[in-house]
Amino acid sequence: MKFVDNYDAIVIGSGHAGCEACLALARLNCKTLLVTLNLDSIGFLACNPSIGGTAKGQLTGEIDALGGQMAINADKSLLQLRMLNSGKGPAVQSLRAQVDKVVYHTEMKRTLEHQSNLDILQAEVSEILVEDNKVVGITTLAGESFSAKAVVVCTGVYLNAKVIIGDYCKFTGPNGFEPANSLTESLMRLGFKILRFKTGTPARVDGKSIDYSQFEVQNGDELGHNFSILNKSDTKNKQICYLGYTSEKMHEVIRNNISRAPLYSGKVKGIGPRYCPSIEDKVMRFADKERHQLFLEPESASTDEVYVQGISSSMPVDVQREMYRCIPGFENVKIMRFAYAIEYDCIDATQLNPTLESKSINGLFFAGQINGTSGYEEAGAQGLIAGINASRQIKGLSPIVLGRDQAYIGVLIDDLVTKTIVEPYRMMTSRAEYRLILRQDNCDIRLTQLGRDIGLVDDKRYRAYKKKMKQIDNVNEILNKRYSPKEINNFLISHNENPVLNGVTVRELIKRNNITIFDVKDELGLFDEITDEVLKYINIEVKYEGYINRENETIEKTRKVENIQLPTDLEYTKLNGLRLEARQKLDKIKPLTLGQAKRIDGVSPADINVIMIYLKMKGIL
Amino acid sequence: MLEDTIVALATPPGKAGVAIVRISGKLSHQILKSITKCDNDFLPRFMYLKDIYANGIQDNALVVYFKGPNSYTGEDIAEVQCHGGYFIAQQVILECQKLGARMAEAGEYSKRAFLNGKLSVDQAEGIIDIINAESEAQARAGSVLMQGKLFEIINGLQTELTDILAEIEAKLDYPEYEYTDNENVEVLDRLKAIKSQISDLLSTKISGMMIKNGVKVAIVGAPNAGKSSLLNALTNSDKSIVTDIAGTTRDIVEAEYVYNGIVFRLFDTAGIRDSADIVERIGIDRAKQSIQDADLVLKLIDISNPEDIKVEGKPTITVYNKIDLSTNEKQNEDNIIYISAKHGTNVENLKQMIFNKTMVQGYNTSQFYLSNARHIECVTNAEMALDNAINTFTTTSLDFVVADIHACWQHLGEVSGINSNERIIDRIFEKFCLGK
Repeated sequence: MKFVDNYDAIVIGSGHAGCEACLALARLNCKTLLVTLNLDSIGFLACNPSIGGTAKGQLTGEIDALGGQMAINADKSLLQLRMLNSGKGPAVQSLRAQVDKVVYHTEMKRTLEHQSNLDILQAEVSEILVEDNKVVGITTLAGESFSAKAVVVCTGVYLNAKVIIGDYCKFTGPNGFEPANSLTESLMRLGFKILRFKTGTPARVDGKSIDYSQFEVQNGDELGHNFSILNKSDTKNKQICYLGYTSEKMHEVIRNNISRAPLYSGKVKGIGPRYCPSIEDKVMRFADKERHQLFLEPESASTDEVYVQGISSSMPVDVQREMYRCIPGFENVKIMRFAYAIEYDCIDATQLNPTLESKSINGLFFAGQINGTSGYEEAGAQGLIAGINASRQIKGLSPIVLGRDQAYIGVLIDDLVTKTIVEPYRMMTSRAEYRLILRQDNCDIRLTQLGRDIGLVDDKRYRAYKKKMKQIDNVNEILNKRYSPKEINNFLISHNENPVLNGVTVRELIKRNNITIFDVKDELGLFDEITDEVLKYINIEVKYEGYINRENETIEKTRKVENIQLPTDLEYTKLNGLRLEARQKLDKIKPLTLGQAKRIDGVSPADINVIMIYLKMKGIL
Repeated sequence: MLEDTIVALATPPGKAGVAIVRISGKLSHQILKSITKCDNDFLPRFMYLKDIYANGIQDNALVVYFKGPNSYTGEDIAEVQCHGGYFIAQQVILECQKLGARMAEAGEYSKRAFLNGKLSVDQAEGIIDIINAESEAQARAGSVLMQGKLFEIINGLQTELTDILAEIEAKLDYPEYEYTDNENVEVLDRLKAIKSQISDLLSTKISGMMIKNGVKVAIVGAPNAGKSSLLNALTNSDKSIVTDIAGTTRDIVEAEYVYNGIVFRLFDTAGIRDSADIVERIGIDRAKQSIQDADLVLKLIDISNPEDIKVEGKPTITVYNKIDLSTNEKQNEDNIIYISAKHGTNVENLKQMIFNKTMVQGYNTSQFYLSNARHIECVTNAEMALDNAINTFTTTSLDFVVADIHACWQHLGEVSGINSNERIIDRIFEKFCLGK
């Protein structure tokens, strides 16, 4: 075959997975081609104009800590930033940014354009070229072929995408972008099992037509945060969000027209996520609720369009007009873009290894919504890992698989390739068994050294990290400083704490309920030149030491089994000791470690014992 | 995984002369020394006759120590051959757990033997069969539990905890949404309610004190109700071991019998009625004291000449005696039994009833009690975790408190077999209206 050009790697798609994947590859010195349906869709925020949120903020922080782009780009396009759950404890605090959709796209596009080793091409990929179960390149619909040692598929919701608004439906991608109608067939020819999922988005309305006096103002945090550890400047709240409610009248409109809702008439075949129910779903399922919350979020500083979070819908346009007007403050609202549901093809991700490489085809990686996830951050995280592992495969290096005890990214990918996903997968803190350790405030501490070893963490980021670690060392020394009762009892009493008889260390002071590290800093004059960020981290680590230690002990206990490698050629169907269900599941998933095998539903502890004995028999264990 | 120490009953459970508890792993020798209160090392492969002290009871047992690799599993093994009957062995197992051992899984001794090279590859297939057989047996036992009271109780607790967890997790994962009727105070109250249910459940476990001291059963009744014959019938002896205690004939006499491995101590009391007689009054006072100390009271009534006696504040069985003199057919009820002490009619049933009543405090209406050592371990851990959650509820942030609630849920899940996190996530979406 004649190739137009030869690349190390090709990334298909320029959404949030594709952007991270191609940047990681190019930054790791792989000659990379990004092929995308439309250059105007690079880093496009197809749904809400925000990055982060609970668990997703952690994912974004982890991408940042490993040297990815999402957090930096969010900072560049920031309209408002909030720390969610600030009253509910450190493990579930997450950053959420309102971002400028237009700026986010242009900044990401600019970053890609300026990246060395990276070429960008607008074209539709029609075929993935494979020889002897090894990927060799791609062909575009226009008939050009490019060779590559690795291909990363990040097609998002574009495969055979179909937009549904009431009776109206059209094969199109989000926002009128072209769908990709050829690639699914190529994937099926390669043996991939295809699923059909569905998601939805609410209407965008003209901000000028909203009576904001009927909404509650939602400002960002006063204290400046940044998403990326690289950005130190104080963020300013450039835009306001608003909180409002649906009305009983609106619910009545929905109920009266429910037979015209595609979700109820059977028009929508794809499986939608329970965590993103459309407003018609909410009204029908939660009939006793008199009103539902909604949030108004600005799409961009350069437009009046407003995103109405909380009321995605696929009702016909006339019903949408009627129901939106029933929202208090929306009496005269002008819809600019209608809400819609979108169906798309994705793959069953259990066909992938935890490296995100296909089990059957060497060098073929998948990331993002095509793996059955939902959300920009989930996509970006996978893109980054797929990009890293594609580059490592090209260079003959061992792959990177993050553990469930290391990062939300680890939880995400392990769930995807191990569990049977039946609806679009959204990350939640409750999915992480070690969330006391996987916090927003320690992403860099957990991952930046690894990112440096991989080669994605540049000098600037690494210096910042080292400086922080040095400060932590200093603080840890100060924590052992001891005060005599005479020196400290007044301080204790003034904070409603019992005085001591035998002296007390700084660490013990911070453990007290009514004392924080900042009290110690302000009143005892310790921790000069230590950043608030480090102090906050130490405050959490000391106050919750018992819990954190317990979680660490659990991790330590499970690690041994967790890390026992399983040969991928193990013929589970021939292991007579295994129960039939376990045999089938194990054969399908082909877990890489005993830990992964344990998490497959339908595999019992007795089955694990049987596997261990076979490993021993074969001299592997 | 293979570094910890495991313990299990090596002999079949049930009535037997001797029960063998086997301990395998690093801590075996240390545990043996601790149980026997011996400072000296045991010589491997020598049998010793020792007093053992386990979980509040004392017994005389044959013990033996095998030093690895010269043992069945290839690890250090200790065996305790105690007196048979379920309960002593259970106490030994509980003690071993306190000292760091955990309950062995199905087939785990054989598995360890294999992994330590004590069995040949040829035997591996056989071991897999054993594991499967045992796990199937476990599954069968599990399915009995599934239909049984324990599963019902644990499942109920888990369901309630799932609801609470779903509420808290929804709050944590969707902070932007408004939540009604799930105020923290209410959650705390619900946790306390679950805690008290778990405590009730734990109170059904056989207590060490009862095994050590026996179960105290007081018999009250009019002088002519037939207390002596009942004593003789229960102790199964004409020459009763009823011993008159010096003092007065109206004093308390004591007898013992053994049922299901448990010692029951009977206190025959004077009839309680108003009396001016000083000696009788002393007897009555003692009778009242004896009722106060009793774990159970048998209220004995002559059916041909019924004279009711009031007993308050104690689990009580009303025993109608002399049914041989009555023409009416009487059906036994929950707390009422009809016997003939003289002819031995229904005496075995009475023994069973006494056993059930005293061994299952807190669940008086059923025949259920928490007896399996592994179950007790799990439920105890669940109680501890929930205690932590309740104690820290108002002072610690929700994300950490919820870690303890999760732990409680997981420990209960080890009994019920329901431990998939997905259940909680499912519940979040069933219950709350969330999303864009």
